[in-house]
Amino acid sequence: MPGTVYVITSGKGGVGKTTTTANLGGALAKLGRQVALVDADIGLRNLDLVLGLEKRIVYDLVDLVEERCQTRQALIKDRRFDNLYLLPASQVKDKESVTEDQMRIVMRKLAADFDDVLIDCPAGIEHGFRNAVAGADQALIVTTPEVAAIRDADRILGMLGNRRCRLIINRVRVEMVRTGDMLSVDDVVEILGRDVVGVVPDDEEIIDTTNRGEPIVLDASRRLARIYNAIARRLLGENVPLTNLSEDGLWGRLRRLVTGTGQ
Amino acid sequence: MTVQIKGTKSGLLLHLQERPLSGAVAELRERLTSLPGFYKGSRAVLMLGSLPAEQSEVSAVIATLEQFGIVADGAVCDDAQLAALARSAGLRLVGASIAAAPRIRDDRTDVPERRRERDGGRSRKSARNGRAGAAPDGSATLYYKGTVRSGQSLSSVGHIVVIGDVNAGAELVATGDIVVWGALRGVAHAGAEGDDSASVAALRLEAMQLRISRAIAVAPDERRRKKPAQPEIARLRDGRITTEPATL
Repeated sequence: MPGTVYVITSGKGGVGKTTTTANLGGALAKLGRQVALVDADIGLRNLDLVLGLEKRIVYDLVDLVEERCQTRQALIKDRRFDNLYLLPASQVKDKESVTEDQMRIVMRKLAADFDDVLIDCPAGIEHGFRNAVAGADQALIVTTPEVAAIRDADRILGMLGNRRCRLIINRVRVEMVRTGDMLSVDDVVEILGRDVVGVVPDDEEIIDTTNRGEPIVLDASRRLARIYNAIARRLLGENVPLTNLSEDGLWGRLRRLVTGTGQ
Repeated sequence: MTVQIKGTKSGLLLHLQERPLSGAVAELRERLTSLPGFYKGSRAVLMLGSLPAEQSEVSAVIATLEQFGIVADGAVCDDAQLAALARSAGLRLVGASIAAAPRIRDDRTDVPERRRERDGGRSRKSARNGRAGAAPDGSATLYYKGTVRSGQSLSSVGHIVVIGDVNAGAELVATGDIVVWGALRGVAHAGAEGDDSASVAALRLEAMQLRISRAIAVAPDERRRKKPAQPEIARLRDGRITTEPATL
């Protein structure tokens, strides 16, 4: 049976699509899945940086589409994981150099060899978006609890048609939600009306690990590693309850002890 | 959804931006089969976008429409090659703004105009009663089930009924009334052809902007979430849009 092709998309830029793709891919690979990550942001590639694989790029997605190389030549193995591969984007071409049909063909090929294929979608709703979405079975919509991000996520949902779409709510700041200064997960769900597959707290650690090209899931002791692991397991159909962020971690417990807030 | 069908005053607008068009043909056939005769006698403009298409595909779209009594007579193309292809398929090229213009005039489309003249001498109440039973002449109520999302728009010569939410960034335009059985967060324009008796009703009226006839109202800046969720209806009173709790 072919694997599942997910597109990770958001409409708005800068909400964490690439970071999510890298870490979710890593988490799935750690669960023993065969995972391929595809950078569909042709001309503005980033996924290779976040994974620390930039130096090893020889062939890319455009080469593969134009049949200048074999699939396995274009795929870069991330040696830190058992079965994680990256199909990088071309940095010198632009999005028009690939068509939706070509993307469908490549994704079908990848789905035959891998359990999970994660496509990192470019921001926007133009050609690059349509390419990224063309070969995807399902979509994971990354959004942050901000009105602009939610508006764009809503637009994207309208364009994704009948595909199964689930939400990953990124950069949630528990303290601000509690004081009413940030939209809560429930608020986001009420507007977008789709299931949530993950809630990721805002955490400075991710900035550092992302810059160093080391997905945070490599260190299983990190809080975000556990959260990405939980999202990956939910994608595989396991019933993992959403972590209650406000109860998560020593600091949360300490803070409540000191301030007397919370339950 | 690859095909969007919009009703406008001048006919149907078919959005066929996605490729391959053969997919759109299949979907079109499926949707028209589910409402046979519904669009019969309509004229349609094909919004073909900019992506390349095959001559045979365009002909298939036209033939499918013809099968359901719809005459495809125009096309909007954002690409010269596509335009040439549409022309050779017998379609008249139209500018996007003309195709979408709500006030386009032709001999079939001045119904609301006539109605206004006819209603001119009566009181507002009787004008309303006159429309209460049936939809205005030659118009239909657009009944839509589901969420209308940002960037999507529904327009109707007649009333619009949405069973679902209308999210911020979405747009409803009706020459008659608008009823939203859900939260209305986008922009709604009722009585778009100048009907002052039109109204907008919603279970949760949280529209960013309401327009009735020529009047425009902007949502107050207060934190709308604190407002109790109760059905409201907006009407035009003395030239200003006012909202009140909806009662039967």
